[in-house]
Order: sequence, then C-alpha cells, then structure tokens
Amino acid sequence: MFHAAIAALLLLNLGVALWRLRRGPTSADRMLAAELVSASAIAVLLLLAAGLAQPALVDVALLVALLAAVATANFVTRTWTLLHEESGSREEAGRD
Amino acid sequence: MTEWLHPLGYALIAAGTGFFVAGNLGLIRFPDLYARLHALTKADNLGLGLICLGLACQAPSLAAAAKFLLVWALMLVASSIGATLIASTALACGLRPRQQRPGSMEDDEREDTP
Amino acid sequence: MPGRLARRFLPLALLWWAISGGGSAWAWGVPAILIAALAMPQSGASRLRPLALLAFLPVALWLALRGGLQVAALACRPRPRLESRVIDHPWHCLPEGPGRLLMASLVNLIPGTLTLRLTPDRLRVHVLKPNTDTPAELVRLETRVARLYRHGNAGGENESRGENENRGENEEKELR
Repeated sequence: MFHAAIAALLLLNLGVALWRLRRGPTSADRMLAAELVSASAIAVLLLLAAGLAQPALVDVALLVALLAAVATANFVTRTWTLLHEESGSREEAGRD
Repeated sequence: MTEWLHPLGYALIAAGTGFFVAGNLGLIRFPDLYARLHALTKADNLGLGLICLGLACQAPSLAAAAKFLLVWALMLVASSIGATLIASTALACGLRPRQQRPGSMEDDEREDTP
Repeated sequence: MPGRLARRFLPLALLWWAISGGGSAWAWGVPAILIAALAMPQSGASRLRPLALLAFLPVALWLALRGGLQVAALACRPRPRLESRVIDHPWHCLPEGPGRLLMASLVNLIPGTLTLRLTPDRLRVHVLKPNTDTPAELVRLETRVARLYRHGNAGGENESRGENENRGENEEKELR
C-alpha cells in the first residue's frame, strides 16, 4: 500500500516534467524533462516491483536505466547538433 | 532476521520522494539550463538513490538488494556523464550561462559575447 | 595476463550474481562471463586501484548527499536567488587520461558545481552558489582522484598506457 501511494505521488510529479517539456525554451530543456521522466519511471517500476512482489519489474527498470543513458548520449551527439546546424540560429538561455 | 530494517526502508523511501519533489521544484523554478542541470543531476539522483536504498533494505534476499543498488549505480554514472555532455554541448552551441557580476545585485541576462 | 583476466572476472561474476538474482544459472553465467572478460576492450578503469576505490566510495556518496541537500534547499526557498558563476580550475596533479574524465563526472556530484568543459589545461566549472572554499574543494577532490590511479608503472605496461592516453584524448574530443 505504502509503495503504491509513493508511486502514485511520483506519477503526479511527472506533470511537472510535462510542463517543462511543453514550455522549455531550448531542446536541451526538453531533454532534461525526458531524463526526469525516465528517472521517475525507474523509481515507479522499482516501487511497484517491491509492492506487488513482482521481481521481473526490476529487470525492466534496469533496462530503462540503460536506455536512458543511451538516449542522452544520442541526443547530444546526433540530434542536437543536427538541429543546431539546420536552424543555424543561436538558441538563447531562456529566462523563466 | 532483517525485520528491523523495514522501518528504516520506509523512512529512506519517504526521504527519497522528498528529494524527487525538491528536484522537480528546481526544474520548474531555476532560471537557466545549467541551474536546471544541477537540480536534475543532484537532487533527483539522490532521490532515486534513497528510494533504491530503502527498497534494498526491504528486499527479500541479498541478491535482490544488490540489483536495486545496481540500478542506482547505473543511473548515477549515466546522469553524471550525461550532465557534462549536455552542458559542454550547450556551451559549444552558444548558450551562455547567466552570471551575476560581483558588484551588481541584478542578474545579467547574458554575458557579453567575446 | 592471467592476473588481468582474474581482475576482470571478479566484478563480472559479481554483476552476474546480482542480475541473475542469487546466481542460480551459473551454467549460462560462467561462459558469458568468460567471453565478456576476454572480449572487453582495454579501458582506463583497469588502472584503478580496487582497494583505494572501495575507500573512495563512501567519500563520493557523502559528497553526493551534500550536493543533493544543497540543491534541494535552494529549490525549496521561497525566492531562489542564484548567483551562478563560471570558474576555471587549472589541473594540478592529475595527468592526462581517464582520471580527468572521472574527475569531470565527480564534479557534477559535489555541492554546487557542474563541469562545463574539459580542456587539456583546465576544467571549466559552473558554480550554483559561489563559496570561498569551492576552489580548495576542487583541489582536494583532484588529489583524491589522483590517488586512485597507479602512476609510474614500469616496463611492459608502458605500451598499454600510451594507448590509454590516446583513448582519453579521443573521449575528450567527444566531450568537446
């Protein structure tokens, strides 16, 4: 019960990330939101694994953590630099 | 045998959730990308770490506890390196960190371009 | 060569034990570990001293805890007044190579600092809340990291060391 309640709280917290995803002035801010989503997803998966006694979910969380690392590296080395070259404009550090 | 660890686990999970909330608050409120990176790499990772540690305290076996800690170690390494990658690419793309001059109280929007 | 293989075997076996949930599947595990140990490329991590690393772990965790507490306190303040600044940390004692990459990642964990750029002569660091002892703390961290690595290896190791340094440079270029 406790685990499920905490997991629900973390899911609620994800609304924050979605807000940042929609508003974030630069694409890097959106990437940060995506990273937050993956961190929360890992926490929720682990909590559910303990709460529901489903140890297989821990493996899923492990996989999500691996994919999150690859996603960040991919974003930096490929996507962002390509985006930057295409637009040719300088993104500014936005004031919130 | 390890029953006494369970309340400690609950406390750690609650503390970890607190750090998660604080990190998200930072992600909303901090003024620029670099400050938000601080919030994400430090507070959110610590939150995840405390949750993992709490769950490891309640895990049925030692191997299961080790797996929880493995998830945390992976996340710690990934986000720490990822933060540097994002920050250095942002700098290379011309995003300037907002800095405060030692004398003035107002934040400068951006440093003068060299 | 056998010593190096054994040094790789142990952490991999530990990893398998954790992943497989108690090590019930060693029939699959032992071949997988052996193949991984043989096929793993030479990396900078092989020059870490395991015991020193073990002693360093609590220090790193303590730093991470303090860093998280500071950022959380800053984020929860009613009006966050950040005085972010960029400072340069010249390298003191850490040689070129994997140690610097480790240091750059660790800087992200200690309170209030974030690595912006890694160059051959210095480390550019973004500071969230300037503190008079931040530079001193960086120097302390650097000496600690330098102690983790073996230096002045004799004879046969020289070749592999050169390779390592090249690797480090490449990774550095990637980090830009």
